[in-house]
Amino acid sequence: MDENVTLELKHISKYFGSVAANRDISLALYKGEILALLGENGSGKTTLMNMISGIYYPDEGQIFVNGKEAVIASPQDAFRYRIGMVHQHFKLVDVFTAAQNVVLGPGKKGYGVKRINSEVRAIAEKYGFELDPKKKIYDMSVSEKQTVEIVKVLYRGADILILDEPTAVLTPQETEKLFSVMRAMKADGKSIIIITHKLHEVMAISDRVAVLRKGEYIGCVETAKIGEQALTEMMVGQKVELAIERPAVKSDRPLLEIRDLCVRSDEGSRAIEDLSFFIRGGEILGVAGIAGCGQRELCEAIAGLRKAEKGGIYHEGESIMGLSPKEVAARGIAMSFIPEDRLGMGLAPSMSITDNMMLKNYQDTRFGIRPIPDREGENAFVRCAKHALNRAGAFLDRHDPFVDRKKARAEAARVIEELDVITPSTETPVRRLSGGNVQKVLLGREMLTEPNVLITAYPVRGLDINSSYLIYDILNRQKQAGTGVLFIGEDLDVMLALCDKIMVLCHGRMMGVVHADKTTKEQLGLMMAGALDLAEEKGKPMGVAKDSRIGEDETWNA
Amino acid sequence: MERVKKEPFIHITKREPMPWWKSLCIRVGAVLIALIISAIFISAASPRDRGFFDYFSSLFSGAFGTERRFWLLLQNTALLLCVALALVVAFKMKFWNLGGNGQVLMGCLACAMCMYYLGGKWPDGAVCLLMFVVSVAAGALWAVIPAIFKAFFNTNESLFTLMMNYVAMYLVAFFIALWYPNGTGAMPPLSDANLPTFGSGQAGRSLPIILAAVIVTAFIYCYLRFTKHGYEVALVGESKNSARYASINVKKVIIRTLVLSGALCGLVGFLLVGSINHMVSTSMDSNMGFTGIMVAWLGKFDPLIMAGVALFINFLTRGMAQVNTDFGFTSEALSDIVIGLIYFFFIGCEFFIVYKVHFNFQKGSVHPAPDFSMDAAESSSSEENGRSAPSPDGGDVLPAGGDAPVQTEGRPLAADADPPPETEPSPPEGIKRSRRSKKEEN
Repeated sequence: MDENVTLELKHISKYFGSVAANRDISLALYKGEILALLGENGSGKTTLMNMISGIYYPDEGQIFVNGKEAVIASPQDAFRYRIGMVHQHFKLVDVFTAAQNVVLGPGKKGYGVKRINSEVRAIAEKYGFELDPKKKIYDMSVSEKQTVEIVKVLYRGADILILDEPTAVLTPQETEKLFSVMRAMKADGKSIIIITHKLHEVMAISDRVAVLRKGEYIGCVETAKIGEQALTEMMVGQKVELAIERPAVKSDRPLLEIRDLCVRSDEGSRAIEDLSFFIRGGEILGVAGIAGCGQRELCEAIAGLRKAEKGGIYHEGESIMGLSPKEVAARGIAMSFIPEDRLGMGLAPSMSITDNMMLKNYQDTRFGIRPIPDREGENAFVRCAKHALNRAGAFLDRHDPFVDRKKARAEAARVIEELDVITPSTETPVRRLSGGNVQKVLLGREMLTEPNVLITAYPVRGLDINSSYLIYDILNRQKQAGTGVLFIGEDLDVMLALCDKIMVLCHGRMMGVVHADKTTKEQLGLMMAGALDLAEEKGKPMGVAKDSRIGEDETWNA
Repeated sequence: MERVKKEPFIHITKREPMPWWKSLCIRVGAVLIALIISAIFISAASPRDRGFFDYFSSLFSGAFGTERRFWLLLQNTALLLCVALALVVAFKMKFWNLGGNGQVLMGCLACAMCMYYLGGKWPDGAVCLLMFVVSVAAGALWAVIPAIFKAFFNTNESLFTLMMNYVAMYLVAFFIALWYPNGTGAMPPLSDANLPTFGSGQAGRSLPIILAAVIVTAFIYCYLRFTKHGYEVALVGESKNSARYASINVKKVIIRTLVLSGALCGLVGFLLVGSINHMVSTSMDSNMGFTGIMVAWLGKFDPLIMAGVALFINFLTRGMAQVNTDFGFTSEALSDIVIGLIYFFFIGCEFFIVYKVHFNFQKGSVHPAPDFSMDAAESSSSEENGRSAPSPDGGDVLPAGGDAPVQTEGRPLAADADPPPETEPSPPEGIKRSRRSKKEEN
């Protein structure tokens, strides 16, 4: 066997029921290299890594560490083989310091605080981390927490590091910093597997790329010898057009205007502070920001699902502040909200597609009782009786106790047909569908209401490339139809290509609104980190439209 | 490596959903095996000279032996089913109503109060009507108190409803002591304001109750399936956020649903006192609030399956009482153990319907042993292929290892009851391929 191979997988398979999460995967990792594991969501990347780090146990196949067969039945075993994994969701104790978190777990050396602090600092310095060992986790930013996770793994002596989507929560600058640390670790002889689905990061950091598709191993190539387009084709299995369209549409007057909005988070802290912005009909306004800086609260406040503390929300000049979604709809305003947690908020996962179709309009069912018309020359008594009867009929009509599944089924069939939802039938529970199809069901339902304001939070999260492009296409079609779209996104490349304007949030405050075709990723990154504030540009606050539809008396006065 | 660890002995994987007839076979098989084991156990422990087959005849005669027993079986089934349906309404909303006992008891108490205070003074018809209203209201009240706290303060409904059981029980004890202060804690049957029956036989007495259960079953079936309320209940149970998203007033739905749940329990209390016992006691609920939970879950929240489960459970209870007498046991402990044993098998087989268990009898890593799995057709010799040290004939020593399932007592259910699968997902192709490639390599 090759001396340089540190980890080798042979014919690894893992099944969940009859679904093969991994099928016959053979893979080798060399000493001192960075291997990118690329694949779409659900292609089995994380499952494979979980088997290496002892969380799952492979159904078939063998794992070799340094040429010897290894049985990894638990994370402890993995550490014994010097394998460490940094999970996508951090597993840290909030009230402990960085150093205390690092030594947690199967340590043998005891817990001298000073010694630990200096040891942790030594590791951090060795690889170029910026880490204060005495800082408590709850004081830390996401990237610092990630640093702690990596140092933790290094402290336990891992030679093989697995990083599961480490860049998903980082700004471009933080990502660059992480990459330089990874290069330092590589120079130290560590082997790193990085899971990601961002192509440009693969190109930037890795030596080799292994591609998985639908649980199968497609191939492994040297990064230097392949381009992004070819990698995408390996990943998806077919040719994909990578360019996102941005059709030019003449934008309308402001549709939705937000003034000085303040919203509190579930924990009671201010999630959104004095935010003012507006969306015009026929434009896509992107909202950029690192995870958890108020995007969710903003969406929920606009959609009427969360109480705003103060401020104003105006739809075509009409205040909809403090109204429930039902009341907003009752005013004839068609506003749709696609929440980020599709299965937890927008849909009912165990219910069928049909039942999900009527989520918002199941109450509209009527018996269809028509009032008896008045006729000429009736005496007063008959007329009175008729009126009473009609009123009773209308009451009964409003209180039809039954749901109309026939109509919902027809709607479901329409959505399935128009958006090519892949499902056995309209009665399939939504949770059995794949991520892309779930999103199509949700979007399809909202499209049927013909909204003129569309709020979408991370609409392509967890979707494969083809589905993502389909979603972009749908959004563009909505835009062309004159809808104002609020697009909360996480991938800056996508936002730069898709959105007309991008608003950047940092800790609930607006750092500015920029035109997508006149800005750069670096600028957005600085704004996301709070280092660049454009909100007070040219001496006037951004986010107030010149042609506002809000009446004079309510207009914001600086 | 410094230390070769043994591979895990038991390997559990999730199954594909199996066809209904197959899971039914497993369940029936589990019950049969449990009955056989309990028959051996009982006949061995009996102080009288009773054999293996006498057990079954006693069991069936206890449940169906006479016309009276038959009707009583149906009557008890009807009551249990009503309680279970009441719980299902709440369970669909993921509101774990463990207070069925208390709600039934409050219904009983309210009904008995009407009979005690008004019986003979008012016309019977009016008292009966009032009994109905008050019982249902009392049951609803006992359920709605935890519901209000859940809706407004998000208290834990399981604990709350559970505690309410004890309050109800001691309230009943209090009123019995108040009415009949003779210290026995028992209440004689009241003769006024009894509910009408169809004739004097057991059939006539049971029929109104069975009828009520049929109506309740049909109502709940339609309520949960076809109405807006049922849709809201399911939606709130699915996800409170989705319900909020759909502009549903979650608090209102929680309270309304629990009113229905409690009202149905109150109805059972009304039937128990007004139609069957004409008196009240602290154990009148016969623990139906808890047995009902089992009925609800084993019946998959489907009223029709639940009817079958309720029948089975009552068949066991009544049959086992007869076994107890016939086999000469003085205490009920033994029959309780046997009922528990049968429940254990009945519930335990659900595990084998959802999961598949692989046993790994491999010793060390040199001698590959066949991989015994629960399902003969699906078992693969993956272990010998994949995990053993490469040996020249590693893959071919026992190619069909799974054909010899081991008969251990702990898991005979699935193995025995499993008919040869037809629509079973084919053994994953990867296995075949890896086996083939192994041979090629060698």
